[in-house]
Amino acid sequence: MTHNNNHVVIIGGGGTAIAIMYDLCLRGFKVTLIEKGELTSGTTGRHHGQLHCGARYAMGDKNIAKECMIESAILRNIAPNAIEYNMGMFVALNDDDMQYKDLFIQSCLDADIPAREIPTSLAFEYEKELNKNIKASVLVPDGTIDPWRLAISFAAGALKTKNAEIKTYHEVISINKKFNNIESVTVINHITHKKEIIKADAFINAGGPWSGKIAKLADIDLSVSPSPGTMLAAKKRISNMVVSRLHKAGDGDIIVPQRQLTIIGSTQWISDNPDINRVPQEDIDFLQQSAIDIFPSFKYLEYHTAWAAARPLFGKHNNTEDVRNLSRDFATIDHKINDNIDNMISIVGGKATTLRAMGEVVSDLLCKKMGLDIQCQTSTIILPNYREYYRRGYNGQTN
Amino acid sequence: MVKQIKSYSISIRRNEDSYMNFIIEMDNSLTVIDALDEIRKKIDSSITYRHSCHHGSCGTCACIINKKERLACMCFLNEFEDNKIIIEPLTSFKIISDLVVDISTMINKLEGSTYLRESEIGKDSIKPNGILNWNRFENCIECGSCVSACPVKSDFIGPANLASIDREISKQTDEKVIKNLKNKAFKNNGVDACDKHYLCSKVCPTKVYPGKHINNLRKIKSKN
Ligand SMILES: Cc1cc2nc3c(=O)[nH]c(=O)nc-3n(C[C@H](O)[C@H](O)[C@H](O)COP(=O)(O)OP(=O)(O)OC[C@H]3O[C@@H](n4cnc5c(N)ncnc54)[C@H](O)[C@@H]3O)c2cc1C
Ligand code: SF4
Ligand code: FES
Repeated sequence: MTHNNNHVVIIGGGGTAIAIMYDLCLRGFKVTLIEKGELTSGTTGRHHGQLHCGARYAMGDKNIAKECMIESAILRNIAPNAIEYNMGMFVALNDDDMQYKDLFIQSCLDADIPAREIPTSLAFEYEKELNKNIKASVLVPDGTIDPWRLAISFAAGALKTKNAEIKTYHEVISINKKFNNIESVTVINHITHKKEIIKADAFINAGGPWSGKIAKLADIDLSVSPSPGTMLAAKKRISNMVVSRLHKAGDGDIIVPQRQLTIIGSTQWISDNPDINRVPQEDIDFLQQSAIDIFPSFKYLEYHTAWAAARPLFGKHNNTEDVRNLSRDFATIDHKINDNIDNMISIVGGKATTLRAMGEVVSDLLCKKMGLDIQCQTSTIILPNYREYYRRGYNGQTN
Repeated sequence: MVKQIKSYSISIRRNEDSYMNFIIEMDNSLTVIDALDEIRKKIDSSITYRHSCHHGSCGTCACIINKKERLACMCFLNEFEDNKIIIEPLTSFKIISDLVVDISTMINKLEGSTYLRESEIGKDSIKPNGILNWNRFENCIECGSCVSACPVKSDFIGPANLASIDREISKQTDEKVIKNLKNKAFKNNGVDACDKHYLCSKVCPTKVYPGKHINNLRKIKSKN
């Protein structure tokens, strides 16, 4: 392995940042991760919890679907304690849905997703509460993620390398430039209320829906639209599988069971603020009705809660060259190209399911920029149990 | 339930035993964790608290709210009729900062070769190829509420740990491992240290009923 003692600062502590930290640590980098709250206290902790096999995206974008298939299989292997794997089912409820059936199955197969139509009688055997009027059902390898425990497993893996330093309750308040380089970040430690300056060789902005605000600290214009969505949870588990509507991906068409809960999501609106402090009642009503369409007995389930989180949607960027991987649903931006800053990368978008791939792509880009030839190892190493995160010194500022 | 914007008085225990009071306007259908987010965003960015899922699944947000162990994210504002809320960190754990406690002393001792268990629904149904058993995560979200509420403070491994031992015994087939687990439960700081207050079962947000598991272990012990 190439000798590597570079120090990297990662801004943000969601799944994306944590997966980048893990990948870089395995490649020998010293990494300091800076998160203003608890790990995964942004969008990551609050997502719907679907381990996407890619079927949802198959008709829309084959590349995204393929990537989800590969990544979901990897995660099932490397993080078994953070995933309920009971597969998933797409159900057609009406003639409109039925029009998509053959295209849906073919699109899945084209993306290497082993989708398989099963007789509806068998679908009722698998899931007794299903609407008895479903017209078709297709089996796919979806699953349920525990958002916190999946991300924390990656954090445990990073700490195990002894190359990671996790600074939670530390907020980046300025990014300090010298010529074409970022020299340091100034952070406020919310535990001691003191300011600290942290220097590094390279800086990665993984601030999810906040990444536009973070880029602004370096006078970089990064167009990110926070795009929130609502989820509704009912007490009692209604199914074992993830059940989705077989039609063009839309709102309120995925039901993710988890532990003793049934969670229906989601909706989508655009906000100029990534901090979401409302849950629209019309969303709750809409989601409830959508769930009833698939599972009529959802109607009798007790309300558990409803909450919202913001997707980090990547907006336009002038130069196509500086945005890699447009074939994926995340964008990696090398700020050298457009903004003339040598040592900063931003990553925006993606899914919880593809966190590992995002870590790999960012780490590859950083290695390339630094002229290092070090391979990614994250797809085969089994992650430690998420509890290792605590064992390795959870105290707000782990070393 | 009618959604209303109301003014809430929220008192947060900060470091060194001092409390800080905040007055904020909030939609009463939101929760205490939303209120903390709002205070952090609009009034004081330095308050520290743990949170992640906002739907009672991760276990990070447990605090003492009006004298009772609760998940802040599952505590709806409309239940506080006088609009006064006092939030304190869990007891029995070292305080790191404000409402953040070091929960690792509990988690490091939990048993569990896997965090998965068999799902209770569809047990006898046909399953797709590749699925042996329908599975789901354990009920225990490792929030620490039971440990905080337990009045027994001296030399006791605590309700969550005993519950995890009982759960693990039910999953294990290896006699040697089971014997080890029983030994842990039957030591002086195990089931015998429990004073049968059962506050653990009362405060547990996810129906683990640690008290039930402790009694289960007592039964196993008396049979041994
Ligand atoms: C409604 C909804 C449902 C979803 N459902 C699914 C699903 O079922 N399956 C799936 O795979 N994906 C799902 N996703 C997508 C997934 O949740 C996100 O893509 C992913 O969690 C984004 O993670 P992130 O780390 O990029 O961002 P975040 O988790 O938001 O992390 C960014 C972090 O940066 C921190 N931060 C911000 N500013 C600063 C600063 N100045 N200093 C220090 N730290 C800072 C924030 O506190 C935050 O923790 C869903 C998303 C939404 C919105
Ligand atoms: S048993 Fe219940 S109260 Fe105790 S840690 Fe687990 S979830 Fe929390
Ligand atoms: S934030 Fe996850 S349990 Fe409250």
